[in-house]
Amino acid sequence: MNQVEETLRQEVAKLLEDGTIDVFVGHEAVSLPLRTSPCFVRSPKEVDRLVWDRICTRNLATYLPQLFKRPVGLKGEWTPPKVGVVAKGCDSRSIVGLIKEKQIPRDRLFIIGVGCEGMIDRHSVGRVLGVVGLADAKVDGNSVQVIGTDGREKRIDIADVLAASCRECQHREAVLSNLTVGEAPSSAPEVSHYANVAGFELKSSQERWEHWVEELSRCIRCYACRQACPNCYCEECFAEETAPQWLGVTTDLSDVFVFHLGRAFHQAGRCVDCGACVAACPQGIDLRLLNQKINKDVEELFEAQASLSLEEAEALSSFRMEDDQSFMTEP
Amino acid sequence: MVNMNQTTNPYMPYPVRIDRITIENEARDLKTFKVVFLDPEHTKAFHHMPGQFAELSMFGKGECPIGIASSPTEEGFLLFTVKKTGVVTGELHNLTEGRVIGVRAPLGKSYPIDRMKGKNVVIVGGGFAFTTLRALTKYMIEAGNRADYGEITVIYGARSPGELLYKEELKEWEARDDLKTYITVDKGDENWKGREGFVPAVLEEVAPSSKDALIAVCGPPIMIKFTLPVIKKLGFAPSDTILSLEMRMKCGIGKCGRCNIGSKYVCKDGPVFTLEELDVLPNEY
Amino acid sequence: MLEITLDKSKVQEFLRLLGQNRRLFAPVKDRMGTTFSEVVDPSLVCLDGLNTNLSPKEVVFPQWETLYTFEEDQANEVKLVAQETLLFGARPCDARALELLDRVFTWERIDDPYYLHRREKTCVVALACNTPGEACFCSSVGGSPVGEVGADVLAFDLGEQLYLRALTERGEALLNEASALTEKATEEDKRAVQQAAAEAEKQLQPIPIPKDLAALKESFDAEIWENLGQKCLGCGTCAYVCPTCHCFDITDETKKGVGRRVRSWDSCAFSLFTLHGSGHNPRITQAARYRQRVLHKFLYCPENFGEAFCVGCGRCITNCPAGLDLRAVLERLASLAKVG
Repeated sequence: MNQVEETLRQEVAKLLEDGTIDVFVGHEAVSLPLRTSPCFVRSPKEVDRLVWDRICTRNLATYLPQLFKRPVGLKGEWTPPKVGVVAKGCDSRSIVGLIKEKQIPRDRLFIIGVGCEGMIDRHSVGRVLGVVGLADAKVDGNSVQVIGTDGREKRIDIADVLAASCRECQHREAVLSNLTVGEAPSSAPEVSHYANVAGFELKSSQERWEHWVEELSRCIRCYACRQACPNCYCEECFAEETAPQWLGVTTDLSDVFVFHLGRAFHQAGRCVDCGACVAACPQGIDLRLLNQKINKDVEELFEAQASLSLEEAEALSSFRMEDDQSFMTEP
Repeated sequence: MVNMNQTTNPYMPYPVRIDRITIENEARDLKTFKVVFLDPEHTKAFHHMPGQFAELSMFGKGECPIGIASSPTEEGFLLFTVKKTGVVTGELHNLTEGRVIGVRAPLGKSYPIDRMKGKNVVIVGGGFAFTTLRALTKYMIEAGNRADYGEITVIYGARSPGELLYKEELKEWEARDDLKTYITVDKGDENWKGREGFVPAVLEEVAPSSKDALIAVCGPPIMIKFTLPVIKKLGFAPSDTILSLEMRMKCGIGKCGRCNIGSKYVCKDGPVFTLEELDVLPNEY
Repeated sequence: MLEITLDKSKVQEFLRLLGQNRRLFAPVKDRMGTTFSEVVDPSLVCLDGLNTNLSPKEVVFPQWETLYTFEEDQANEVKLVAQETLLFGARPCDARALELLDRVFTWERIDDPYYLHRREKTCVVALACNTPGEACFCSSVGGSPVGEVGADVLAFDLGEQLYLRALTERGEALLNEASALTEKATEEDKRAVQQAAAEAEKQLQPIPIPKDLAALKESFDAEIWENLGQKCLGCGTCAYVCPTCHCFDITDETKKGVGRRVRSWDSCAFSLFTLHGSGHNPRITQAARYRQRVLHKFLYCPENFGEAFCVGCGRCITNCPAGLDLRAVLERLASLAKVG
């Protein structure tokens, strides 16, 4: 156990004991290596379930709105619970977005911010192992010791298997929190922001088309990306509407394109690049590229990134006289 | 029961022409469609029993599971009473006489006719769920079948007089002396000279004997909720209490996995269930 | 029946020969490890992976297919003409899953022609497992790493060579087609196979499975479902990667009166799965939906088919984005049975 994990458990126990919160949303260990599962701690006795390590990739903000919904079939008085949550930089930006979109109430939320220098992408680890499966893994400082199902051990630098969104992350600390635990993270390296997008934009339209056909033909329409995304909280997604029917439900390529492009546009100005969609996808599709392109456009047109503070207006839900209008005049 | 689909493709509908459309209520969202098979061979081969349903196909929109309102004793056509609810039923409501739709039928299990023979039968229906009970009632009283059954009691109610289905038929039934018919509305209007009262209350008042009797009940969930205790009070055994359920369906033949309650599929093990059968299923409908 | 060996260096040639008038489906390398794919170039086939990321159920039950087409009010049947297909390298769990799917698609003597016309043309060469995969538990649910159910041929990887045992007439006919490349299995080979089988079975740790159906029924109202429902994201990943899941949706696609009715994979975990046109949803919470997934596989299917619809392949566990582990759920349910 590491120091952050220990402090986190102590703080959560206190918050539960003194009634500041009714439930804490965190990560807990599961039997498979390099993974966690969300956990909902309701008693100080259970805080030992909470873990914190370089494997907490999930964006916990996805799990918050449901806690503030009146339980189905409950009669009589109901007050929403006071909810605590542990948040990395990206998680906290999602939380800011959800608060501003009125999906969760700020005053019933206790955010424990934790600095983050990037999480391990287990698919990258999988690629290092090749066809051999992962039998066990242990994080050890800046590296992870993995054992394949063939019994062979390997030590991998975490830097080499960081999630792609973590590699380019510029927001290592929570942008909104009630309490911070752990040391401040080292500053993010100067990565050329949106470097992968800029590189992709240089390709010919035929090359770009072929790339997306190859990527999106892997899609099986499981909607894991959508369900894992904190911003996708619509009770009926446009992909499932029947009146009108915007797109088909199959893996016919045109329908797959419409789904992913549609969802990317619904994220415009809102996506915080947490990488939850990529981590959730069972087919390892690089969905980020789409969202990154739109994020880049938003940043260039409106000089804004999504959900950095409660006070600032979001780029696509506000209007300033000086906003770029070139898309109208020079489409 | 013979299923025309069994030897061919159970997903392919048979084409039928809409022969007649009757608007059943003032709100005009309840219509009865009289359909005829395009192929006379299908008309000859088709056979259903009261309680079974069909998947009606509106090409381009989808299918909807609708109880067959006509009795097998009514030859040459099928009747479906459909409420306009969404995309598929909305499309059906837009169609005119002469248009062709698809029918996949007969699906599901029928009312337990064999068990009803020689017994008294009580029929309790509410609102637009009365459709298959019409099929059941007509089957029992027509085509020389009447002698097979004891006393037949029909209790049918709707929210208002305008919402009653099959108004002409109900009048005919009320005039018969081999059938006890009690029609009621939750609230009458200035022209209504009949009974006022909720169906469960009327049932309690009529208090048909449960001796050597089966009771078939079909209606909106709220009506069922209040009718079942009355049925129990009257002494009907759960195995003699017959219900017909609704569920979201797609294939209608027990393969797509959607309409189950526990291990039973409403499309193929139902939609008709006895209360005894439902009592062992999870409370998930 | 026929028992032969094939030198591994000849596997590509073997597949090329057998693939001459067949579609070939086999595991290939993939960014997620290995996955089943239609293979035109047998040099791409990779038999070194453990379980593939996606199951091979797509061979007989594709993600989507056209049921029929229509033009205005006229419905037109589609010709169901499947090609001869060789499914090579399916693990015994996947082969066993096909046998379970057979039961659904012929249930109550109502035959699903779309499934059957593909299934009837598919010859299954299963590849026994020497090592369990990341989350395998086949032996706990009635399967085996060297199981034969659902397969026409069972192959063993003996290192330098493959051993193949015909299980059906179709399998024997297949192997006979490639007799020029194969040798009759020797007694030594057969002993090596027995040893490999014993080794494989030893490596699987049994896990508790709730088998008491009455107790499982009692668990319907247990608190466990609320806890699990909170974690479940309600995506379709587990159902889609599962080799025995068969739920599907039927939708129409139309443009100016011309179109098709298609069926496509669906999942009981989706929130809209059981939503009625009236707006009523009998499974309105994720807890209820997750419960349906588990009880359907471990209670309702045993009640209907005598067996759980789970072959222990572990794909739902390795792919779940919420980190849910079915083994942990089953253990909990089995322990509830003991207490209750």
